[in-house]
Amino acid sequence: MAAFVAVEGLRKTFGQSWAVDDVNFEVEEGKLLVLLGPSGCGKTTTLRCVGGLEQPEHGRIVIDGEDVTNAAKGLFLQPNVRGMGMVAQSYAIWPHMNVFENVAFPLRMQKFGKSEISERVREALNVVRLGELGGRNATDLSGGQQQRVALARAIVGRPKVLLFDEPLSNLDAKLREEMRYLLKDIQREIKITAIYVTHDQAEAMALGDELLVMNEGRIEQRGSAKSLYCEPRTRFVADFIGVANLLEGTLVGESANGEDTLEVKLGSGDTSRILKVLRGSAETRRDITILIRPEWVRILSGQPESENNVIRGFVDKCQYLGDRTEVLVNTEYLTMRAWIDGAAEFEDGQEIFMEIDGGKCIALPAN
Amino acid sequence: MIELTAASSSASRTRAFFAESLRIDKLVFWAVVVLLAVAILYPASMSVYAAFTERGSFSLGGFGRILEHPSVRKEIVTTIIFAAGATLGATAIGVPLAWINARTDVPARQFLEILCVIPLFISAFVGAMAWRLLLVPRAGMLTRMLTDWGWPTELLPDVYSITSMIVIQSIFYSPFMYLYAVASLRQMDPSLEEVARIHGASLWQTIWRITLSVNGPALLSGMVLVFVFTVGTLEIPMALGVAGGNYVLATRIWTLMSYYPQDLAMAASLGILAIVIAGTGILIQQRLLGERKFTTVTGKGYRAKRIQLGRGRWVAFGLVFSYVLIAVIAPLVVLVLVGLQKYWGGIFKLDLFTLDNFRSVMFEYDVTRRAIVNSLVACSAAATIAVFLSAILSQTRSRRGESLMGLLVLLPIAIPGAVFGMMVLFAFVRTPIYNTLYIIIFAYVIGYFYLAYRAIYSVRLSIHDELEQSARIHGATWWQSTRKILLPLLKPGIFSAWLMTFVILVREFSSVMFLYRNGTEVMSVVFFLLMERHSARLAAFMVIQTVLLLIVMAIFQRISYRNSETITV
Ligand SMILES: Nc1ncnc2c1ncn2[C@@H]1O[C@H](COP(=O)(O)OP(=O)(O)OP(=O)(O)O)[C@@H](O)[C@H]1O
Ligand SMILES: [Mg+2]
Repeated sequence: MAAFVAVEGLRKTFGQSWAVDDVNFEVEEGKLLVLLGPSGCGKTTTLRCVGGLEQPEHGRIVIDGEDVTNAAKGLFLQPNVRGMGMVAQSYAIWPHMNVFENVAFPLRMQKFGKSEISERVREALNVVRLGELGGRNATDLSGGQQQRVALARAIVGRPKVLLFDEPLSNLDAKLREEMRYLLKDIQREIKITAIYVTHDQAEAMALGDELLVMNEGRIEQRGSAKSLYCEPRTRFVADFIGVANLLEGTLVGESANGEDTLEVKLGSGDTSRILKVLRGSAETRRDITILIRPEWVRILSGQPESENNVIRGFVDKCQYLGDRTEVLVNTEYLTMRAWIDGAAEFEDGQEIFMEIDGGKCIALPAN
Repeated sequence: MIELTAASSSASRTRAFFAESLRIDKLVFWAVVVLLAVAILYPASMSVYAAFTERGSFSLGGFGRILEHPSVRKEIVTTIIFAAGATLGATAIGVPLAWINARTDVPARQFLEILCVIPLFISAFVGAMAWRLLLVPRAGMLTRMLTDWGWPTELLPDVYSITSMIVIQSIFYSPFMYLYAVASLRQMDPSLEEVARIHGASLWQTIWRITLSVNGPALLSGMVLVFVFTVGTLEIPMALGVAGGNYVLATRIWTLMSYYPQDLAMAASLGILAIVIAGTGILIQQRLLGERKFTTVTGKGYRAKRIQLGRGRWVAFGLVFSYVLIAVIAPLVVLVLVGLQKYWGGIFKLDLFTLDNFRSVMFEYDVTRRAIVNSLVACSAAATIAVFLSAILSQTRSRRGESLMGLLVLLPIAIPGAVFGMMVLFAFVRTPIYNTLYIIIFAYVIGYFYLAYRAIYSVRLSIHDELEQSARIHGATWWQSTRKILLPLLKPGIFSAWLMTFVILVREFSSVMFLYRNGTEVMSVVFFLLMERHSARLAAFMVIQTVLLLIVMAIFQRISYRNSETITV
């Protein structure tokens, strides 16, 4: 199936450095793609290029089979003819219009008739669960309500593509979660193609059919939430998504029996230890980084039966977090985090042994 | 026993209350507030009194003679047309200029931004006289050039017409609109526009339906200011209107006050009428504001992306530059040329070249020499007083104090300039300061005090209370904390407020025309005195004033760029 939105070789500079540096991706019709990355990595710029608010120096953007930007041909369609909807970080509710007029604006621009406008505005307000607020002054609404008005405005004209630039970042934590579910529901309900920018990985994982992690203007990795979490291909992605213990080691062997596992030696001399982990994207180079998620660690009660995949350490701190207990453990290599379901008690300084889940922990190329 | 304790505790509370309210800073604050209130209300009530009194008893004769007068009714209409036209004109010029400079990628932006506010520093009277020299029938420089190129005489603009008055007033008052619009556009969240673009609005639709509407409240404030200024201005009406027979209320009031037979009651009545017209403008603004009362959403932490005009940026540059050409370059060039001629015959001739005009107005001619000194003395004294009072007043942090100040500051703005001059004259006509420079200084301070106050207040807002409070907590007295903490922090703001006030006062014309006497002429008064007598000397003298103002402005620009402040009007 051909991609509904395709971005090829996109590059954009502001003065000296490339804000977006050779970005390629596609979005299938009806799917939501999340652009995720740290501040300043070029997410917003990429999104704005798709919307036509920035003109890139290089690259091509195709929407629904039609070129909207093609730098090689000097083609650049103005934003108002691209058939987009957008929800901005600051809501951008027009203060001189009431809720109804804000939502009706895209329809007025498309010269719809009066009755059709009021029909569709009511529909859109119902979709965002704001049915009765049409006559209200837009700026009197709460932040969450304003954001829903912005969403209604973005979908009312049935755009080809919906653009979101950190739409939830101005809301407080609880509201943000609520809105996240609402957004997901709505996106499923109206089956719209969307590109969603955020630097909040929880939001990204909850919403995205597919995620695209960016760093310094480039794409680091693309995939589902699960694949990014469990099989990151770079240290950056491993670190950026979720909590990561990253141990440095050297490759000492590959598994003989055809399983795709590597044997990696941590430390040297007396304290050295061999871990067997998944190969992941690690090349057979000497230096390896191992990713150990905190929940891939099991704290043994008492002495280990074998030395396989076991790391010794001393409890540094122990925090009860409700659903789990986080234990900070000083090891010879670094201070590691381990999560245990429910409550658990350890004494500070207590010696413990941690068993690493070799079927989940994964090797990455070291930097 | 119990009663005794109660009494003593209430006594101590009373003492504490007095100690609190007698704190020196409050005392000083309220003293200044009362002083200013009296200084505004006393002249106002004196002229109301004059409007209803004749030969010592109550009378409506002044108002009656308005109705009987052969031309005053027409003059009222002219005033309204002139003020409304100039308001729309100044908006139509100032807002696009502001939009181009603030929101687009026009070339040489910083340069244009400076040039666009220069007309604020050139008196509109000067501008009008320069355009008169360019456009008078037959002898005008431009008129001659145009007729030489075969331009039909019927199609030459009539510089004395009401249309010309409106256009020239618009040109020289558009910087007010420009400054209001620039400030408002700068603080607007640019995503308001971008979201409109994405949702199907073209660039023009976005400008019309989003940008202008969102900035509407700020634009309305600017418009009402221009309207009130225009109702009370004598500059263009004297420079062009009188010669063309187009009287407005301001010129009529001035004539009634200055020429025999004087009619003070009628002048005072017309003053009330002018205030009513200005007040109507303010009411209309309030009505329009009331329907669309919203706080401008400011974009915090968003980079305002300038609109890419493509090749259109040179068109934009051309537009801004033609404004600068019309409002700054052409007037200055013609004045310099005329000033350098023995006499002016409509064209610059090398064999008539002379420096005599400049020499005589600076060193020989009594009135002009005196006027330079008077202007420098009166304007710097008034600017100093205004800034000093503002610095004291801007210190208050109490709600009540601030809203009271808001009112005190607004009142003089709402009184048209010529009417204010008349009021001050009524207030002091039988006092010893009547024939002195003090009356002019008084009018300057009270009439233009708001300029200094607003400038300093905006700086004051940016200084945190805690700095000062912590000084007080650590045992500094009010005076110590003011001198050691507040004043140094306010210093750059104070200096630019002083320069700003000084410049506006030097070019002030409309109220001082009522207050000068033989010996207390200031520069702008001398323009009027020289107007019909010696155009070459007048031009030379205007060049001198303009150069003086431009130098002050250059200093101002340097300071405010360093401190990233803007001009407040
Ligand atoms: N208008 C601009 N002028 C100059 N530099 C810009 C402009 N817009 C973006 N940049 C630069 O481009 C880079 C990418 O910016 P962008 O806004 O796309 O980042 P982002 O990933 O959206 O970050 P954030 O999460 O902070 O919003 C940054 O280094 C930024 O400084
Ligand atoms: Mg961003």
